[in-house]
Amino acid sequence: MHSVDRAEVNELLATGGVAVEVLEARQYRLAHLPGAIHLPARGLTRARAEATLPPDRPLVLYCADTQ
Amino acid sequence: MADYVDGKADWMAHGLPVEGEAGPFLTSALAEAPLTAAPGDRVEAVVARLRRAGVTAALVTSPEGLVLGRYEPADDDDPGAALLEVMAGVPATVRPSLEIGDLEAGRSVTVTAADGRLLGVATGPPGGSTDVAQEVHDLAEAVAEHFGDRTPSEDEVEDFLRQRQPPS
Repeated sequence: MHSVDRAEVNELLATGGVAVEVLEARQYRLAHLPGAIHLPARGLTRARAEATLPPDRPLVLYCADTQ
Repeated sequence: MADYVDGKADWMAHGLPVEGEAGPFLTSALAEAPLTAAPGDRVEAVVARLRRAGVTAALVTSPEGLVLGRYEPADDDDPGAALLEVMAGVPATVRPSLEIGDLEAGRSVTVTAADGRLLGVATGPPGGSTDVAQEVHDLAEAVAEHFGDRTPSEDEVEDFLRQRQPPS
């Protein structure tokens, strides 16, 4: 997995990429990147990830981090 | 798979769009760009620009758009001085990820991205934070009364507050 910055995320989302938020449900509900899929890191299993994530599109994983 | 290391905080701090229940954010309340000037601009020229624009102050920015200070003319300013010599320090700034309702009613604030770049100026709505503060206070009291000495989880508080809302 490689790191990307904000500009690269914008580019990826504009060209078919999908953002994936790994935070808890409450945080996702309040605000998430446009079109982001919710896949909370807590309790994540391989099966759940495979069932949730589109296999044929670039994925951008993100959490909250700090300002 | 890519990792957006700076995360949602970085995204929102730069005023980029989000979806969800929170907001509206200052991003959607930015007024037209404030008058800006360079630190090397002369007082005389900036005062003339302020008069033409009908505003009382200018934000002093670097070529990259970073906010360096604020200039409001004073009677004893040397007309030939550079703004750098007479400007006040950087005004208090807020991020575009702040919710509009959190702004003090009618108060104008300078909005910058996380890197200090000027995004614009936003003004709090009529009846802004004063009402919000009272509402938050009332809700906090209601939560304390409902749960007593016990510290509820976030989900419990959320459920409680949802039940308090009148049906729409």
